[in-house]
Amino acid sequence: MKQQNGFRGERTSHTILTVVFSVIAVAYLYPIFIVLVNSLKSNAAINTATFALPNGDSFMGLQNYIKGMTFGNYPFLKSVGYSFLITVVSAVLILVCTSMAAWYISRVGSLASKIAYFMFVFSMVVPFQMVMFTLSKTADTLKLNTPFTIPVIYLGFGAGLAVFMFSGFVKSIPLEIEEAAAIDGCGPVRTFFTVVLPMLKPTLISVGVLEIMWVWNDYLLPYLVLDINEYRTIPIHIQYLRGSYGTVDMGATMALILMSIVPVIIFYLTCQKYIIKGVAAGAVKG
Amino acid sequence: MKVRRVKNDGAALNSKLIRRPIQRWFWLFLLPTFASFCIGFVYPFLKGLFLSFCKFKTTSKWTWIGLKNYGTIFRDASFLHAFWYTALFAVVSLVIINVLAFAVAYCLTKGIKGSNLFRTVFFMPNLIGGIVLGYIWLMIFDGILSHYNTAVVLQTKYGFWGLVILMCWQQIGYMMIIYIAGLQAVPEDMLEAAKIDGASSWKTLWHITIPNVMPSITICTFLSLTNSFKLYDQNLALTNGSPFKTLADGSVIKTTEMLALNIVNSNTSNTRGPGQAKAVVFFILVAAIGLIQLTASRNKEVQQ
Repeated sequence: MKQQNGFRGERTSHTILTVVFSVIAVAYLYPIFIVLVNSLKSNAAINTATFALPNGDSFMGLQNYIKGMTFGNYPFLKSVGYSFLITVVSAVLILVCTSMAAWYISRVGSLASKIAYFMFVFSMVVPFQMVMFTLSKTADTLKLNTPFTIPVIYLGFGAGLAVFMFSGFVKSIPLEIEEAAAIDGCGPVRTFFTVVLPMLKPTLISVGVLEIMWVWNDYLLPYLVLDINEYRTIPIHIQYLRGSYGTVDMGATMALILMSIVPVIIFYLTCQKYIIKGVAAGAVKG
Repeated sequence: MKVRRVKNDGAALNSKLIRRPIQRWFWLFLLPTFASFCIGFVYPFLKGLFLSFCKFKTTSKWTWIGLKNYGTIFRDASFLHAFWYTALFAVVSLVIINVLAFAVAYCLTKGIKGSNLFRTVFFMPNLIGGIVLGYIWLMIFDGILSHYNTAVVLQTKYGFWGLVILMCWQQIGYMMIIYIAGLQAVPEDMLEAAKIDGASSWKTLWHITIPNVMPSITICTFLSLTNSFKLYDQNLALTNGSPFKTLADGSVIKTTEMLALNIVNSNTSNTRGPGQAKAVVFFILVAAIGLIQLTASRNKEVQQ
């Protein structure tokens, strides 16, 4: 933060700004708070008095949470499990495979690798809707339509940005380090994992954060690829509950929404520094 | 790379030490990513492009019909409506989000107390997925509108402004981070010189700060454009296109349906051909925005 004090009157304007921003910050958090409040209220109370705090009549305790666990004939924890599985496996797979690919592309520099690089970069500007129909059919044919195999699809569709970010960083690493390793008799595999990969750490974190946020929150890709009667991720489950016809159980939905954002907020608060850095790095990709 | 250009010996050494050995491990380093990339992107992309010229219900049964699908979609009132609706939304949200995000970033780099805390709070909504965001705001909007005996899904303008508010809530923090990075890179001595010369804060902002953060402004402008065009989850969760309007010729327009949602909704067995053609047009649109951005930021780099 820059310190630009030194002019009279700035101190008072700073105090005013702090107060104004405090109010805005509270307003910013209000939607989350109202989800918490409503997850403790009865359905009738949510519809008639959305913004009221629960009172004696409308307070439901944890009943909405208990109901939410098996809501829509699908155990909520199962969807949490699938979401975790898909996100973790996809992120690890993307980090390992694309960093290797980016190193290969930058160091080999042959025509073929240049063409591959161009294709990866090109894929960054293609929206998912362009490939969605054919991709879901391909996934069905190749049996990539389960939570255990869908990470391959994520690796394929998400490779562009990751390869792009990794190559940008690899190019800035001086070649001499790897040459020294090679002269000392270190093969490419060992050079990569013991010399190059540790140097890639900042980019690994940035890419990891971006991929985790993408996969965890993704709705359309798993919705089209997975068999949603059997496998649901959290976004699919919530959309299914709200999108299905008939009366909507608001209380239970709010309980589920709260349970699905709590892990995200914990993740955010613990790795905030890396998340903000990673997102900024991803944005400036150009 | 540098070594190679300097002298020939270096190139030979580099080739022998680095290049050849890596190339021998092609199957480990490049193959897994490239094979998945072909499955997850190259093949679906090419097949999708091809199918946009065909009449088909499944990927294996198709008949070539040339440009007919493209003719169909440009007479499709719902697609044209979705396009203009998306364009309007993109412009409105672009202006609002960027002005507010810049203002917030500007204040937060002035060294006020609690800047870091505010930054944390404003960025937080970015981590919540679109579907969940949509339902949180649907509840809030309906909670307010129920006092007037109406709901978000009943009027186009509610759906439009609701989505704008939602996107502001989500995106301001994101753009703010980029603007903060830009503002922190403004040379301190320039600002000091302006102060000594007696420039007012407005003049300093217009003539020194804004020209210096132009790269960030370019990035944020294009980011919010592409975000708006690709917007799907939030649109689906908040209104899913409601309210519907029936035209004189009997066709139905979903008045708050944006491009991405319109394309996904065309993915039913009878409209797959036109749906794929829409996706191609959509791709060209998004790619064009991306390419303009790329050239814009390249030019900036050269100048520096």
